Amino acid sequence: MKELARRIRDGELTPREAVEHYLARIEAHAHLNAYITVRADEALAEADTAAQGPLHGVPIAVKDVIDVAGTRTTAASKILADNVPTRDATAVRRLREAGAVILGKLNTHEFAYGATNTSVHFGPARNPYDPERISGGSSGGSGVAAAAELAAGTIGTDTAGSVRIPACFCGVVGHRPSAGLVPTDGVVPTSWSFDTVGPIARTAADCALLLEVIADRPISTEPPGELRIGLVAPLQERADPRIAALVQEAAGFLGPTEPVEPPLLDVAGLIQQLIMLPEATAAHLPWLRTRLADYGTDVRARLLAGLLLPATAYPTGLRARRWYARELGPVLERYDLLAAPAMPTVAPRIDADALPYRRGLIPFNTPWSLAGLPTVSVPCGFVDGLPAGLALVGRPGEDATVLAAAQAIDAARGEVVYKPQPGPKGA
Amino acid sequence: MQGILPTEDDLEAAQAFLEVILPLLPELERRIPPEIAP
Repeated sequence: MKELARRIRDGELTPREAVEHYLARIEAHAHLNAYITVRADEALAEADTAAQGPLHGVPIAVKDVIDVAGTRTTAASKILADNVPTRDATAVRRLREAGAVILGKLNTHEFAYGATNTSVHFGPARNPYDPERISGGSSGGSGVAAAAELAAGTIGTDTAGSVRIPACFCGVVGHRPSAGLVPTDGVVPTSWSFDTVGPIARTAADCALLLEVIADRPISTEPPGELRIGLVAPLQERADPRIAALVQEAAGFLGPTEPVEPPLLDVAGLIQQLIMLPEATAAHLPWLRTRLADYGTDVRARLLAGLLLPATAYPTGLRARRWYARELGPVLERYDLLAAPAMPTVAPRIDADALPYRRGLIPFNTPWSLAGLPTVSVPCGFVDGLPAGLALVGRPGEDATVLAAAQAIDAARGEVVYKPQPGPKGA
Repeated sequence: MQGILPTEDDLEAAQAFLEVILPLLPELERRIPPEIAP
């Protein structure tokens, strides 16, 4: 993405040509189902008048829970299928002000409330490395589009893993920003306490540039020097041993690693559920009352669970979150970064039972989102020909350290180069 | 009322979530130090 921005800046390519390039790729990779809405005509027109800035003329796509004025925001749902916002989300406005051209709206798990990205209404986003496997979610279209080069960079959202999981499964870099760093207005809410807006792109440097734009503040990714890395032992032990080995090797590029057992890992997932379930249900109450049958079965079940949870569960969750942050604090002081597998396995097949996958992913994602910590998933190798990811977790507000470290891993390993897979019709 | 009231299947699926969460709540409540407020 940075290279494309340079080529446009140096006059080697026009913004319109850049848009045309990606539109052709989107058409050639339609079987991956990365997009819900392609803004072909609008993007071509907007390319000619793109603002001057660090992303001048660069085609960027956003998850279809993020508002782009005049283009429908469906959240991959039947309920919002015809919902056309009149204003840009702040993140989108900042992208445009930096010169980006918004190429379209990317597939997501229905209402960003799940991690398989197999919407019954818009179909699954397919993993570029094996289209019979899930992209991960909920920002699955963002992961697919970044990996298969169907946009120069993408924006997703992460409530409990939704940027990190598809980045991991699709072999690209995804960053969940510190809580509050990027405004969430103009984004369909999942859970107000945990919702974040973050970049997914092919390199950590691209993610840093995108974050700089949507956070509207500088993100310095100077080489970090030797870092103190705590390797999260309980998660290493739970992951596929081949993934754990790749994670250990990649973390070692940053400095000496030391096994660490952060406190309360066993209850982090439970605590986040106690807060997230009622918040999501509260956000959906009007539709639960009138459009219940229009949800997919898994999202409907989650929303009803939030309705049936005892009222005391929510304050228990809030108290437990404070306790968790207090206990985790000393560990974060001891290390510059924590390192762990982003996911314990590679992407499962679309037709596999989703339950073990769903339960397996929680311990790898919620410990960091629960505390609002900046976390990146960066590719660290392949298992059975499918990407594996390393999660790097920083202190609140230290997104630059996290992304600088991810950039150092990119530099040490070399960018993962996606080799296109044949589609169902040899596309 | 079809489309507004949950079906038996819906409630069963929601219950499956709660069956994982609810049994863990008393132990969590016991472990949170009393001085921690929401």
